Amino acid sequence: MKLKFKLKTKLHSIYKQIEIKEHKLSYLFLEITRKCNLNCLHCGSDCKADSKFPELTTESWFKIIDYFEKTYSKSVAFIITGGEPLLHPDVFKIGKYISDKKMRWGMVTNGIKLNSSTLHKLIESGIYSITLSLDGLENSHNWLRNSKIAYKKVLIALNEIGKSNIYFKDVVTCVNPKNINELDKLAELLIRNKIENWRLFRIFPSGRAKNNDKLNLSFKQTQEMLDFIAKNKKAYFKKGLNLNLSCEGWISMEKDIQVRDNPFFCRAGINIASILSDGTITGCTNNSEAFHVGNIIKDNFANLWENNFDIFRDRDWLKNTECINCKYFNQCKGSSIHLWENFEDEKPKFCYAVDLEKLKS
Amino acid sequence: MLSFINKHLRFFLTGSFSIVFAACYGVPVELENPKLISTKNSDDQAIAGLKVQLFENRNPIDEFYTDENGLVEFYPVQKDKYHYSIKIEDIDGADNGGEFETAKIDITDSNFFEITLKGK
Repeated sequence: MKLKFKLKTKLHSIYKQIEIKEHKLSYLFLEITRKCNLNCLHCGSDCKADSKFPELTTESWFKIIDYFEKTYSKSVAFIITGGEPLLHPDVFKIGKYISDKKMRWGMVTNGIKLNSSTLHKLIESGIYSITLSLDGLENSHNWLRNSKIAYKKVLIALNEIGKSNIYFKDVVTCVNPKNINELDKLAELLIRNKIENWRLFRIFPSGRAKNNDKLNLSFKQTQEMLDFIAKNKKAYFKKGLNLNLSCEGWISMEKDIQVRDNPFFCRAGINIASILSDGTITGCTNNSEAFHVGNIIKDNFANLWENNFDIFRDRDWLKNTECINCKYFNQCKGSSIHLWENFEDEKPKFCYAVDLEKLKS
Repeated sequence: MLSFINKHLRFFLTGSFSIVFAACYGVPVELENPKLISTKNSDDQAIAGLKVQLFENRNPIDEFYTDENGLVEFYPVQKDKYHYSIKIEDIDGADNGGEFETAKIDITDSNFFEITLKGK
C-alpha cells in the first residue's frame, strides 16, 4: 500500500475512534409507517399496503420529537421513512412540527404519490432533504418495483424534485443484474432533471431479497459497479451530479476514495439511531432484530444511548467470527452492521474486501 | 478538544470541515454545519432573549431568540449568489440585563460568530 493511503487509513482510524467515543447523535430515523403502496421484489422490511404492524400515533411522534429537541442539540436531523411515508395521513404535520422547532428533516420516498401538489406540501412543511428511489429505466424499474406504473410516477417525481429548491436532492439506485448496464443512461436522466446526488447500492439479502438470486449482484458485477463509479465520478460531478457508492461495506482506502466522498464508516449506533414504527429503538432501520436495544414506549432513550449501544461501538461480539482473523479487521471492524443477522453469524452477508479480492486472484 | 481534533482530521481526509452524510436508506444531511451565534455584553456575559432575524437578500426569512447562554443555533439553507445577514435586536428593554444596540452581521461560510453588543 502506498504511504499516502497508509497514512490516510491510520488517521481515519483515529477519526473513527474519536467519533465513537463522542457518539454524538446527529441522525434520527422515524419510521412513521410500515404501510407501502408498492410490493417491491427486494424490500428489506417486507412492507405491504395492508400492513397490520403496530404503529405509534401522531401524538406519540410529536412527543418523541419534543424529547429529542430537549435532550439533544437542534443539530439532530430527523429522517422520516417507512414503508412509504407519504401514505401516513399526518406526514406533513409531523414534518412541520419538526421544522417549526427550527430543526431539519428529510424523507425517503418511492415517488408514487409525489406530484406537484404533494411536493408543494412537503416544501410548505419545511423539508430540507429528499431521497427518491429510481431503480433503472422503465422495464427494470417496474420489474423491481413490481408495478406497471412505478416508472411513469417516478419520472413525475424526479422532474418535480429537480425543479424544486429543496437543499438536498438525492436519488438512490439499487443496482442489480437487470439494471447494471443502464447506469450511464440513468446518469443522463438525473443530470437532465437537475438531481444533485446519486448513490448506488447493492441489494442486500434481507427481507424479500433474502432468497432471490436474480436480485443480487455477483462479485464480478459488484466490481463493475465500483469501476463505473470510479471511472465516472469526476465527469458527472462537473455536470452537477455527485455520484457515490452507498455507505455500505468497507473497502480499502485506495479504492474507497475513488468511489465515496467520505471513507467507509458505519455510523449506526454512533451518530445514527432509529425509532421504528412500533417504538423499537435501534441503530439503522435495516438493522436486524439482534441489534434492537429497547423501545421508546418504555425505555429512556438517553440512558440506552449511553449504556446499551456497545454492540454497535465496541463490537466485542466480532471476536467469535471469522472477521477476527482477517488482515483488514482493525480497519473494517466487521463492516456495516446491517450486513449481520445474528451475533452467531460467522461472517457478514457480503464482504466487499475479501470477496472482491478473491475474484481478482 | 476531541471535536476540534476530529474536525481537522476530517479536513485532511475529505478536504472539508463539514460532512455530508447519508445513511443507506436515509437522506443526505450536513452533519457539521450549524451556524452558532454567541452574544455577549462588554463584561463578557451572555445575553438572553435577543431577537435574531435572518435575512436573505435583505428579505427577512426566519427569526430566533438567544437562550440563557446567549446562543442561537440554526441551519440557514444558503443558496448560491444570495446574500445572507442577521440582525440582532434587544426587544425586551432592560429585562435581559441591560439595553443593547442593534447589530447587523453578514453570514459567511464560517460556522461560529461571537458578537459583543454595546450598551445603549
